[in-house]
Amino acid sequence: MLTKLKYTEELNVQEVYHQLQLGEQPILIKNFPLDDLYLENFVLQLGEPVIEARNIRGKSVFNVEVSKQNNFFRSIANSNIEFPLHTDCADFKEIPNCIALLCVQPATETQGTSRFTSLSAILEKLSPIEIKLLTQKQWLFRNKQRPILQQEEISYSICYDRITMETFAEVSKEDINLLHKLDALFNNVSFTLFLEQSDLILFRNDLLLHGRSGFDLDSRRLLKRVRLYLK
Amino acid sequence: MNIQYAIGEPDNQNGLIYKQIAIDISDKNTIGDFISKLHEIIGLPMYREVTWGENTTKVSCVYYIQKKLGELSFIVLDKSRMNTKVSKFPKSGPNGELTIIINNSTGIVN
Repeated sequence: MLTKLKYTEELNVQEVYHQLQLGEQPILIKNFPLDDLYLENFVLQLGEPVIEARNIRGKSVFNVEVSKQNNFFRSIANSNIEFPLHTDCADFKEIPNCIALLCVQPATETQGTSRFTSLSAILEKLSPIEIKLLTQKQWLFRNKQRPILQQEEISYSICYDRITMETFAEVSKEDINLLHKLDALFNNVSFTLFLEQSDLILFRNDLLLHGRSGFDLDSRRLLKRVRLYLK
Repeated sequence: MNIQYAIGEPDNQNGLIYKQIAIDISDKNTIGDFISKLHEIIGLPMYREVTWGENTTKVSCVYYIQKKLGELSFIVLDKSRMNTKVSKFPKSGPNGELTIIINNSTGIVN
């Protein structure tokens, strides 16, 4: 379910890379230094990070924390709202296949808990007919049309973010019911993990869905996020 | 004051169409006042409604002020800067206009 490592000067980055290539489970590194530059440089050894203007210093690290503008949240990630299982950057032309999240400040122990579900666990619960439907039916992710499941030779990848799917397109009642069913299925095969301070979790964005439970609005929960294209 | 603005993604300059307009506001006003006035003039809501299942919430636009003409470096406006006077911000337009990008689409989810 989870590969656990402890950060030391001798941490084998190639082992982390290898585990990410296998992609079946998140990798948790305990005691990771709480330093943006350190995180940036660590990720550079694994792949090409996504650089965005809104990130810190316009580079690769983004603060996932409660943040408002005009009295509204700056994004769902920047809210205290429960975030259902999803793929990051589902509306990107090329979706980064890996995410790194470094916990700087957790919420209280019963709140802001991370949730993951693996594509292999999802596929085990789907019938061949359902898999076929999910590989064929196209959904609009803001301005990109793609199916939820994509077959690549003998393996699959997943792209799912119902907030983007429902916000930028008219979704029929029938399709909303399908999304409810998928949410229920994904949740049933998911597992939770409470990230502690200095926990760095790395996981495949194309092979796992992730989400989090809600937490108090005045929480100081802070995760540092880097998205990347694995080498 | 003269400004140029675009609605879209700062990271995708090819998709941006800048418009030059004049806004009846002094640069002694705060950037927060300027933002409110800009939304009023261009008729763009300050938020986008985000929906999933039975849930709906409003997510704010995010603002980027270009630092230098021809460069992809920006000041990302956050709550702490909203009381800063407009005069304190760089004017990077070809004719010395303040250049602002309003993003109300990418990144509103994550």
